[in-house]
Amino acid sequence: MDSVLECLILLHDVDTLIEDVTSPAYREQVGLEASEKHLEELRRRRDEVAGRLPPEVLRQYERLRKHYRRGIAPVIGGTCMNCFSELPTAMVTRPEKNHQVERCPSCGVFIYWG
Amino acid sequence: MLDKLLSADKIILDMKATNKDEALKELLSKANLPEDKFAVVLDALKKRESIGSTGIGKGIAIPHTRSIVLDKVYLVVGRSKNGINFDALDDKPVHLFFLLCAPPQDIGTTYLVMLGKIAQIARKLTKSQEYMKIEDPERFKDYLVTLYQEK
Repeated sequence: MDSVLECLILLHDVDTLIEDVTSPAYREQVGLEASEKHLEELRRRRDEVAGRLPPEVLRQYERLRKHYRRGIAPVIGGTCMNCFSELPTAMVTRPEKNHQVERCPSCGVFIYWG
Repeated sequence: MLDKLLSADKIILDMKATNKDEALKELLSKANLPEDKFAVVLDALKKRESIGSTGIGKGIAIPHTRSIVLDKVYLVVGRSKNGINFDALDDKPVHLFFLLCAPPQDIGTTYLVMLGKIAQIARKLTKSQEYMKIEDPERFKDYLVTLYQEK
């Protein structure tokens, strides 16, 4: 797998985790909550992962995240799970997947072939 | 929900793990993920544990995470007769684990609702030690489903 893509996946998963544990629903439904000290540590680790990305990729990721609440989305069955548009056949049928950083031609999010 | 999500082959009635890391690995191995996805999800589970144990006390833990590498929801239930130190809130060993791993597509709260339902079942379970006695995975699943459906 491409190392930048790997980093984007890690960053996405940490962002999802932070979003989950800081949501009021998490506390209400699950009854668990994270202390501010632990959250700070998690945010620090998030920044470490983000720091490993090329600055331009990070900038695009943050911009997409602000817009769609995610900077990277899986492609399942040839469909981008962010905008639900079908990807071009040339991309879908290419045998080597996740070996380079790619973006959905429709919405622009980074894609992970699931 | 639980009926559809949990299958008998995702229930471990005699976990071999003796510590937190081993427990997460043993539970996640039941999801039969390819090696690269296994590593990503395990890392996400450990990150979740790093901000506070999901051991909710009274012998029960609900390790959980969402990861982009998952294409469906996985629920694995594991029981350890000896108990495992999981840094639970009450510092007691954990005997029963509910591992929930889900894809991130659901931007709403379905995942959290599901997690909440599992937490409810877990709390109901603490009222009796019956779950320590069942030796058949199918019966164990039926027991959990009955608890889930109880008002």
